[in-house]
Amino acid sequence: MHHKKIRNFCIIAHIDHGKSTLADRILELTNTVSKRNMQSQFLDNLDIERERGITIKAQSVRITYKSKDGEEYIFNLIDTPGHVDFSYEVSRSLMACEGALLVVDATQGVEAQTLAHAFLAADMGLEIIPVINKIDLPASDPERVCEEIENAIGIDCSNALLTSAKTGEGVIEILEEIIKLVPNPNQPKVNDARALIIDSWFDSYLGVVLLVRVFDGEINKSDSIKLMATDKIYEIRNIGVFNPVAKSVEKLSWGEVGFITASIKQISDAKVGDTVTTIKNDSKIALQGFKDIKPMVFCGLYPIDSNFYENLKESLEKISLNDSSIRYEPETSAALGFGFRCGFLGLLHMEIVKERLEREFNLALITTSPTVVYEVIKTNKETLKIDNPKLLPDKSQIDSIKEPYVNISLYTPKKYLGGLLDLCEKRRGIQKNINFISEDRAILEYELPMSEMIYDFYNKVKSITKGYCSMDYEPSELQESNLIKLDILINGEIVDALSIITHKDNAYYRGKEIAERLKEIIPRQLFEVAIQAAIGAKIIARETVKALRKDVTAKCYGGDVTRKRKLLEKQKEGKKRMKNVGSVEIPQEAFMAVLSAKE
Amino acid sequence: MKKEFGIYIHIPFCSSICPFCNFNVYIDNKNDHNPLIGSMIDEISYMAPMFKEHTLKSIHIGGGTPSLLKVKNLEKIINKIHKVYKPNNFVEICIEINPYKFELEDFKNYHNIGINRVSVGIQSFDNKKLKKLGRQSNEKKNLEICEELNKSEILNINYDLIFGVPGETLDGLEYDLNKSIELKPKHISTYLLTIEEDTAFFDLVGKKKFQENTDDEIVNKIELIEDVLKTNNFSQYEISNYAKDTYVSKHNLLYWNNSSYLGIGPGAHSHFVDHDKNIYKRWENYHDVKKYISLANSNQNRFKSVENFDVSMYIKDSIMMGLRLNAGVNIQKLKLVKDFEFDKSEISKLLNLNLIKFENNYLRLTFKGRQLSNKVLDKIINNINDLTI
Repeated sequence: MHHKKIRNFCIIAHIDHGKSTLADRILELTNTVSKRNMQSQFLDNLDIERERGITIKAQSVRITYKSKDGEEYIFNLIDTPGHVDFSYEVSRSLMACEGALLVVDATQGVEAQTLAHAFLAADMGLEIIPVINKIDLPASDPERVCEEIENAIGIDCSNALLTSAKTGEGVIEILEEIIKLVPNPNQPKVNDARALIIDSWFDSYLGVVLLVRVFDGEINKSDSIKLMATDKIYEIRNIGVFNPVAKSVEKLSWGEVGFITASIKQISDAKVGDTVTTIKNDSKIALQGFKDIKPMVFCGLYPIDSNFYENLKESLEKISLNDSSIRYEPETSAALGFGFRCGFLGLLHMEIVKERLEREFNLALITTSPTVVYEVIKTNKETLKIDNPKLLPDKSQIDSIKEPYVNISLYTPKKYLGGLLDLCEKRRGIQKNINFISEDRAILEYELPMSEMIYDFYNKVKSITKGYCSMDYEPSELQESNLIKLDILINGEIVDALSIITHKDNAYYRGKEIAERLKEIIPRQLFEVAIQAAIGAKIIARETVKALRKDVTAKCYGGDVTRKRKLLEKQKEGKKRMKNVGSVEIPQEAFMAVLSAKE
Repeated sequence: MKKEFGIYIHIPFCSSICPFCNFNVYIDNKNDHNPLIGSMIDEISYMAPMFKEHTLKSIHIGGGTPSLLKVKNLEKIINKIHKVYKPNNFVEICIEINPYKFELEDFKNYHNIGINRVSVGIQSFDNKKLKKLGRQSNEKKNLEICEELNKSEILNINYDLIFGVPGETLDGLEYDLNKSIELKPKHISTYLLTIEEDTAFFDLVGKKKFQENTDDEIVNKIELIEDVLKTNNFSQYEISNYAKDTYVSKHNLLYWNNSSYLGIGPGAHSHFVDHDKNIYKRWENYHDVKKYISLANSNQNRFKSVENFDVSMYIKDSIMMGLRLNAGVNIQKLKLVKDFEFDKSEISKLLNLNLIKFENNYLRLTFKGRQLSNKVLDKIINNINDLTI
């Protein structure tokens, strides 16, 4: 292998700006995948990814390209997960590359995620090649977009490539430009073997699969490897490359990207960002930047029908095989019975997992409202991590509470700035920066309590900006806040699954809002239902769902029996989406009601 | 157990289609009724072997507008039934009539051919309300027919009334009730206007051009009806039905007791129960008149669909229908058919909410329970675990 002929690169793009289409076209034009076998958007594997147009698991592929100069090159295209909750994974994908294609939609322009990823890539020293995509569309305005890229990111766009991934126009030029501009991998200074885990996943035939980029030395099929975060040693079973189907090779040497399967049982042992070394050429120093990432957002997941607890448990086990960032532990709720407290990287991650559980495993679930992890310092100096509002100790035992903050950037047309500033101020945000990057676009940076960000924030942003704003965030640090627990009582009894932790100043408003929402969601029953919001023993809001008075079929004769029976069966079906709390039937969505803000 | 049944004769013609009606009816284009009547008479004999161990208790001629038929045709039908099923002299024979279409001579003839009960589709004595309901009759015609009927030899007379019509007040409803009572029928049915799919009213509701009564208004109206009729010695025996003395509808009681019935004619429904042989069956005839006649002509059954079910479904149906009756359902007796258990906690919740009562083996609904009967039925029936049956 001639290392000078290797080019490792990734594609940075906002959702729908054409990353997957461009990848498909590159595979096709290099005959890596024949047009006939081309399943649209080859790199997106999961159904949900394809539906939502986002990539959750990174995929990677090796491409052989014969350049116009007659030489043959090896390209490793490394995919990057495309959504806000996965910024760490993105950084690991970028680290494996020497260059990045910055793909921007010629009709849309720069978005927050593009920006965040581009800055990250620049910080890591990657060569960035601007690509203006979708030039086939009548609304495309490459000139304006180039100007935006220059103003926002500060890279020269005078040689930006104009393409249409859809038609294939300009794609060969991209490949040529990669050869010209992206450096080949650096010659290592040592022979010790070091490879970065870009991604890992569980394959039911192969076990845990590691996608790695080798930086130093080489890894041979006969080697034993060590994962440096855990110091655990494994026998290699197979090594190879994706071309795009898995193909075994004898070894992977520095500069190359490929896969390793070994006797690794659990995905949690194969952490993204960890360093792989060999026993033969044992390295003492791990590659930089490894972080053991922790879930940020927690919620309770309960089967509506308590008979499905075991199914939920098995499904969570299965889903965790491929997603090491999920945490789950059994918990019990007086209102909802047996379920799990689950941790996710962010709100979107949570929604995707819930959707997969419901769709792939056919479960009917209740999700309690998501919460962040609070740090409580008790009067006896003991520190507690609270990921479930009902576990917050009594006020008298609390010295102080800290909550996690995030740095959030909003990329928006200028005319919506006012609305966004209002929203961020209301959400206890601290303004960090406003930057105008073109005539009519600006970046707004705020420090915001994470609990505010997961409380219907993004929906609000979308509605204020009519969908023209993009958002990115990264976790910042814990800060002390004046927080209290807000309880919801249904017919006099606290429903533990509805409790939330909120800032004291917002408690009255939130209490009233939740009670009003629940009044809309809870259907009229055979008796009156009282909904109350309380702080401690103090009731701060009350709503009443009046008793149902009439539900009667006037005529029922011979011809009506079958229809009437079907109606009864439908009622029974409908109840599968209801949870009985005491004798009150509460619809599934009520438990998420605390999530949607009116404002 | 006694095996009894009733025969329902469906006459699928009307001179116009009411905007609230979703029955299987067609505009009567003055065609010859004879081919259809012939096919129905065939069906009466065709089905005879099945019901040979059952005793006929009632004949109900409904529709549609049976009074559109010539008396000759009605006579043919009744004679055929007598010949095939040999009922005794106490069999109830009832016909539904529309005030718009009747001749004075008819009542005499009806009596002569054995009809002993008449159900009049009065709906209201208020011209505005009648118009809103798309009825071709008016107050004067309604009064006229009632008076004529009173002069006839038919004693067992029912008035159908509708309430819950947009714009109808409590006073307006009371007027209809009092007018009816003055005319001394033996039986009154009061039906809450229900918006059914595939009706003109349904479309209006969809277009938000139909102001439905609120639940509170309706419950107040039901209270008024029960009150006024009770004061005048009509006792309620079913959610929408009131009778003086013993003049209950024998035919309709077969439905509510979940007994057998044979439906004759296009779109008619039938139910067959035989505990000894463990047979439980429902079927529905083809709706289309031409199709119905052609099947009859080729001597085939007219079933559009047949459902065979088990005893647990029979039990559930019996509760569902029986709870419509003020007397309720005899649970002891039902358990003799097949033992089952209610969900005790659900029953005690319903008892505590004063929605049901349990007395002398009878489970029945209270006033409050009747207004909420769909919900109560759901709680009771959907919590009889199939395993406990």
